[in-house]
Amino acid sequence: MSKVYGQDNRQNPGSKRYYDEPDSRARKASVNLGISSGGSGGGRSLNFKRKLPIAAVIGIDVFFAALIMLIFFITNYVVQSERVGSSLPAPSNSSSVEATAQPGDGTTPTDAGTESSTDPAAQTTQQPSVTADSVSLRTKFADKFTTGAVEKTDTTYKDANISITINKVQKENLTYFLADIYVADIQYFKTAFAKQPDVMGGRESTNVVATENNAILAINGDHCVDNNGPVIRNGKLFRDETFADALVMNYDGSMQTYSADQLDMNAIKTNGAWQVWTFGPMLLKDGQPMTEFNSTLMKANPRTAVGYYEPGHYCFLVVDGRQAGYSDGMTMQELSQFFYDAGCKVAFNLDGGQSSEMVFMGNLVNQPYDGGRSTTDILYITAS
Amino acid sequence: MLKKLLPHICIILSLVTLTFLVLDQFNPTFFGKAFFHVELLIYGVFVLILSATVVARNRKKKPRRNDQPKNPRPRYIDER
Repeated sequence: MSKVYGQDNRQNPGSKRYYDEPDSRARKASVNLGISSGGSGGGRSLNFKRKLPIAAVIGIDVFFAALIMLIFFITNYVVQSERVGSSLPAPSNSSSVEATAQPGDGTTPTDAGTESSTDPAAQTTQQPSVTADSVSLRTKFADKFTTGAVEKTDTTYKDANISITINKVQKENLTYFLADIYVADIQYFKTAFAKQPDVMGGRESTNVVATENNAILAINGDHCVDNNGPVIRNGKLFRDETFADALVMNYDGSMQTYSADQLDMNAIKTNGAWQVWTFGPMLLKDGQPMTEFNSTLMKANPRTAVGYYEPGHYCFLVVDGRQAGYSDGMTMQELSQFFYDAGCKVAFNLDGGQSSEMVFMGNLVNQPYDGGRSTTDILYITAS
Repeated sequence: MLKKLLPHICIILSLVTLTFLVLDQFNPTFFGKAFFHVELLIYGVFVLILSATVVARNRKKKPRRNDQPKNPRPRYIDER
């Protein structure tokens, strides 16, 4: 005869069973899981006779984490909401010279509610640009343009308003393409979104977007759809949040870079801007090379960047990378030093890596990593 | 029920946060997304509740040696 102290012995009086024997643990497990069942009483719910192994429990947690990431991926990358931009005011001294925009398309000074040309026709049919500066740019860079004829080679393009020269440089484990650009008016320096040029949200290859927009020269943009930060394209505001460094191109053709805390979107919304890109980081500070950047992508990578010398004179740089024996790419510091050595006053990094592509007259110029990938927007030079 | 789910919610949200952290190293955009902000907010709240629960449980008065435990481990005495 044995006796168990400290427990209820009504179920098994006189037995030698402990609380912690298997059947007892199973009963506790079913309570712990909160899923009881069954068996004789309820009938419908499951009845786990033992606790799940810890690996299975963690596995279930990992599954739910993956489910959340999947929902994030679908909502952010598969189901994309398209966004249409709103017009920003053009600067008061701007008036139009080139009749390219359609009446009421939101890009005319009249639509923007600012002063426009005294020519009634100009008020309704012209796109904002800077007449005086346009004339001065044309005069200033007269030796870069032709008198009207179009001159093309595999690496150059010249007409009465545009001059492009592409230089391919190959060094030891580094290959890059530098496009030197002169424009007589900033309206030849444009951006376009994939699928629909004025609607943010699509994705296509740089080459396709360039062809659709009659681009002479194009590079991939800042992948703004999937990024954060301000987005102004061709004078239209698509997003006004500040997040990372930003590059602003004004109507007079000048460019400035700002950190997120320095960028005053209210001022830009009031005064207008021709283009604003995000991604970054800015590569020159007060015209000097930098050693610290607002970015975590510091190692050698394929790069796409834009440089600014003076109004009307810019450069596009695409660096190939991640291809051993051909090109490793550039670190952020090397990129900064490169633009300083090139004589740029402002330089800004755009989306790089597999996205880095340059298209010239319909042909892919560089050798993108792993064949490249789709982009959401491009920067391009066009004659139309 | 919530007490049992809390640790699992925290595990799940921490895994999501770590995934964002890794992805952000390759494409530094994730920390700015609204989805991440909401996820981080929920994660913070749940971790706070879980931590408070654990602290409260740890602070519960432990039984003294002479006190009779509520569910003492059964001892056998062979009376033969």
